[in-house]
Amino acid sequence: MLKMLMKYEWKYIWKKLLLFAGILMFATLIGGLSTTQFDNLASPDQILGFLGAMFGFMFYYTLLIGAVIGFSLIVGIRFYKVVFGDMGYVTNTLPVSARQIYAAHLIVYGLCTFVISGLMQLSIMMVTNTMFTNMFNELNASDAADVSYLHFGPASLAEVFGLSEFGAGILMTLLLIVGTISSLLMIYAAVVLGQNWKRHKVWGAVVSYIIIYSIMMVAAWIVTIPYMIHMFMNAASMGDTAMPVFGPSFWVICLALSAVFGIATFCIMDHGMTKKLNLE
Amino acid sequence: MAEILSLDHLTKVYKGSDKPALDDITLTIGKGRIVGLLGPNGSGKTTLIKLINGLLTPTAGEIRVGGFAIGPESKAIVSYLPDRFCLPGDTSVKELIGFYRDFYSDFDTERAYGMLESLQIDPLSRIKTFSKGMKEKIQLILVMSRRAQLYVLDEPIAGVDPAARDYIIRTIIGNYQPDASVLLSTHLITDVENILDDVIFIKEGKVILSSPVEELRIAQGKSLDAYFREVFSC
Amino acid sequence: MSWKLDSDRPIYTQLIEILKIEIVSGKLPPGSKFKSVRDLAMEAGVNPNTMQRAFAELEDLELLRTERTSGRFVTEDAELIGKTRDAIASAQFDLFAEKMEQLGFSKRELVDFVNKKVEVESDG
Repeated sequence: MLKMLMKYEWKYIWKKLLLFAGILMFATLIGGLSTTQFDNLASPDQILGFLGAMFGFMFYYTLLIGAVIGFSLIVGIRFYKVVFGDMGYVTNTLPVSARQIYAAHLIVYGLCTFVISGLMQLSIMMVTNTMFTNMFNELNASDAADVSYLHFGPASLAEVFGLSEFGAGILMTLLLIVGTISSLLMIYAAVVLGQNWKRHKVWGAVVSYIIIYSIMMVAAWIVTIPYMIHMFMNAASMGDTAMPVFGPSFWVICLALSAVFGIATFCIMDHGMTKKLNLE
Repeated sequence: MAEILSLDHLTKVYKGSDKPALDDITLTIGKGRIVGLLGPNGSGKTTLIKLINGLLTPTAGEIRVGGFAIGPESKAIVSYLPDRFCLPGDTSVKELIGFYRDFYSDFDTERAYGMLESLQIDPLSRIKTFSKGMKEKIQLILVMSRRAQLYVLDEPIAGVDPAARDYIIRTIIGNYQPDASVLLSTHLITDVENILDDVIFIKEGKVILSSPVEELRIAQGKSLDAYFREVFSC
Repeated sequence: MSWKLDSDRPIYTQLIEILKIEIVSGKLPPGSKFKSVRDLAMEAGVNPNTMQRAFAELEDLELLRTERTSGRFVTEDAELIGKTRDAIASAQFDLFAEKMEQLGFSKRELVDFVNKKVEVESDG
């Protein structure tokens, strides 16, 4: 039955997923093209070209953010409609358990989010590489080496994370997976919490999401503060090496925090769907 | 086991309300019976139906369908017709049939197509292209094409024209199986009383009467509709 | 078959009456096969269990017999059918006679009235 649920969610999303992939590719193209104009920084008579490049870049950035928000909205709205909307009368009377229902959503949309996040990361890497290549193509070799960390790729990431290249790759993938599931769980938990509102359940979900997101941001800041302090102290003593080394411990704590958060939101969702289901 | 449904001291209190929507209800429904759940608006009919289908969780008490607690196994043997249209608009009828067949092993695809054909419904059309009345008939066809053990129909003939009412009632009769039961809630009693085996009167969350209909006619010397008006007179 | 049913009275007794009339009038000939319980129930717009109950009682009266594999059949006992017809007609007559008595007809007047009516019928 879980397979069936997944089949129908996949049927719903695959075309939209292709659309988003297409949008991302288009955005990357725009972003990449506009950053090739960034070497015109110094020439005043190329100001139009430069402005065009800036707008192009902002457009790229907007499309990326739009893609994230848009996809999150689609995922959240689909979950809401299927479980708590009119279609909920069909979904909740299928011969499946509530756990199978949200497992199907988590798996299908988790994979989709994973793909989209991965594409976005690739896009950002490509565009910023192009950007910095063009911005600094007049530097001499030694200066270029100094800013090589700005080339986002496995090697530079490995240096930043303090891990081997392979380790960095694993860590990135892990963070991507955990981050994907967490972000989905935040949306689903918010939708479930929104059901506690007597009326305006949709606004209830939006407010719940804002609250959950804020809690997460606060927690993330609290975790980051010791490292920030460490970084400033290091910067003061080491001169102009700008990029701090956030050691493995930082990333482990990040993973742990995400996991805790994930479990908390999972419990909210599970409870809401099994014990407290109250369809209008 | 001779009963398909058993309710044991079932109570439901909605959050923020001090009066129970359903108050300590105990009753059973036997196999092969068509049972009417009658009561005024707000008496608890829909609450009871939602509880049977697992759309609400009880505050106290137990429900068993075919011996199962409410869960995937009970849902597999219950076919539910909600009091509103709930199917997605941009799927085709054929895709919906595929959906039902995928999830319900007791779905009779041939019967569904047969009924659609008799109403001249094109299976390839999208749901949203149909009128309200047609949509509800399609939903009814999907529900009645299952070979379930308990059909739960919430107000199946309310808000529907007389010809459609006849069609729905004939469909319910025609679908009859000796090992399957039908629980239907309505306040349009005249139309359905001839097809009911038993009737349950529910008022303010309590069952005030549970009886075979013919016995009521003999005992009271009047139609179910007339007796209902007497019992529930304002 | 005209299934005009009155919800004020038990349905199954009305079904029995209607089926009896079908049998005695010859619309359901002796030895003929009945439609299935479900089909008749659909036609009449009644619960199949109720139709089943009517059938059961007809079977008790021996106006109907069930062959387990082939279905239900009208009896071939012409005498029984005749008796049933007479019983129904008798009851109808009693109702008529009572009404006519209320109108003040004597027995003689009643017979003359009926004869006149029948003549008119056969002329027309």
